[in-house]
Amino acid sequence: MTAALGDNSLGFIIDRVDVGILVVTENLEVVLWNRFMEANSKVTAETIVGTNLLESFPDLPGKWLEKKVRSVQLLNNFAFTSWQQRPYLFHFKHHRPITGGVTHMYQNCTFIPFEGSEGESLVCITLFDVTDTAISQREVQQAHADLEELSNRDPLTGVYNRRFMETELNKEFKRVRRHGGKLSVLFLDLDFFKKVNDTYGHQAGDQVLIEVTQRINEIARVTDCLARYGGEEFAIILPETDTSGGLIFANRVRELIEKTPVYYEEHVIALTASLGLSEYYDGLESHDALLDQSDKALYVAKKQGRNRVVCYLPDM
Amino acid sequence: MKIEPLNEEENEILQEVINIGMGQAGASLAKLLDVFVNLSVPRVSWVSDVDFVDQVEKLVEGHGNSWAGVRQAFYNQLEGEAFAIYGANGCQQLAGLMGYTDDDEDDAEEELLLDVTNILVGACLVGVAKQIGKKLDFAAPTLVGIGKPIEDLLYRREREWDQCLLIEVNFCLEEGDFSCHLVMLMSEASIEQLRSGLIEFMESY
Repeated sequence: MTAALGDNSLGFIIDRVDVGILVVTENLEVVLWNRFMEANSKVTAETIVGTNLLESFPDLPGKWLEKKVRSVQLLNNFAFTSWQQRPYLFHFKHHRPITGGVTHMYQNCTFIPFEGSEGESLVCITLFDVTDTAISQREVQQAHADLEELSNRDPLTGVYNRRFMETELNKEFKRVRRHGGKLSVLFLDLDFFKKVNDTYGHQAGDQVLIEVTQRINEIARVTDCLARYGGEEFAIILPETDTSGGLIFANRVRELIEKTPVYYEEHVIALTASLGLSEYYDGLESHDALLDQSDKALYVAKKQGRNRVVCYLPDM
Repeated sequence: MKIEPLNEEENEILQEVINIGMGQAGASLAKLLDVFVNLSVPRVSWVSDVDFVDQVEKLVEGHGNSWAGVRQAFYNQLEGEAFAIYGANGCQQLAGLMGYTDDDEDDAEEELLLDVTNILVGACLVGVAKQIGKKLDFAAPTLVGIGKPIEDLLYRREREWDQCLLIEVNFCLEEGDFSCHLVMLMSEASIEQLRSGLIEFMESY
């Protein structure tokens, strides 16, 4: 560092730089407190210099701070804190009251050990305002989460899509295979759905799909996973459910669809559904096999005359 | 420019310099934490970029799915990036000793990993730099991942430099084992600095 500038100039720069700078002794007595610290804390250098930092800021993590200061002095090594783990050291207001949507200034800090002019060991703490970074990272993360949620959903009905359902089923499958437990998969297909489209138009068909999924979701548990498998076919993962529990649920769904028509413009669209149910058993090789069983059961339900629930049997 | 790797003699001195540096680090750490710290003799080796991931996986016996990685850049006459890898138990037991209380939860664990990395990397490199009379500064460490398989932490990517210094250090505390693997990646220019420093160090004896 150059000494071409006099102490006055260096003092000015330290005071006015757009970074918080404070110097403390090992007992956290304040030696230096620059203008950034003054402006943000409303505590002047005159009042704080020579006193213990924790007296003016009782909310600081005292025990941690003492350890930190001691550790940098002992190891004679810089130390850092990041807003990602410790959002702030000093609870300061941020400078984005209009655009922020945050409650405080985010800070990155550096702890720098050094020796004072009389050989005393001191620690310089620098404080960077990283609120902008924190806000943009939060926005990116939110956008990412929204996109991920969107990519898991069927755009029309808002229920999960096939890809997400298969990933979830695979996880559930592995869980019961490793830890035991019950797992069933229900397939549902709306009967004569093509007729709805042909008679009332595709918008009516869309309305039917939306309302039917809403109704199923109303009686499903939060842990059940309803997905649009394709067209008018839906799959529902039923964790912790065996065939008898699955049958009760499947019949409730079937009855609900049968007795609640969908109203579209002046039309009353009566509906029925066919359902195929199957349950996980030891030795089943994959989640695909489980899907396949339910699909076969659904096929039999259709063949037997629709509007019914069929459970998978090994000879299907 | 193709850099000559360190010869056998230079490697020996480097090993010695790192031993001394880590010894000092261990002593400071023991004083800081107020517990007995047992430090293994660091193992130092060089690998080319091509073998980097394989070597590191071998070093940490890369099975299991729960590793934590922290990276930290260093710069000035010696420059590069350090990577610390922690096993499943991480350094949980260090939490109390480092002044973290239990109620801080997840963020506290992350911060602890960053702190410990900063201390280990700093101790090791400052020790080395001091002995060979080279300037060294550090940037803040950042978390690469936590609770992940090793290959997710060290995924293959383009690396600018093709020489890599692997340093393996194990720390044991009284209360139980805690181990950390340190990997340093240095620029070619700083390997030259390292060499010149090592030669001076040797000649000063």
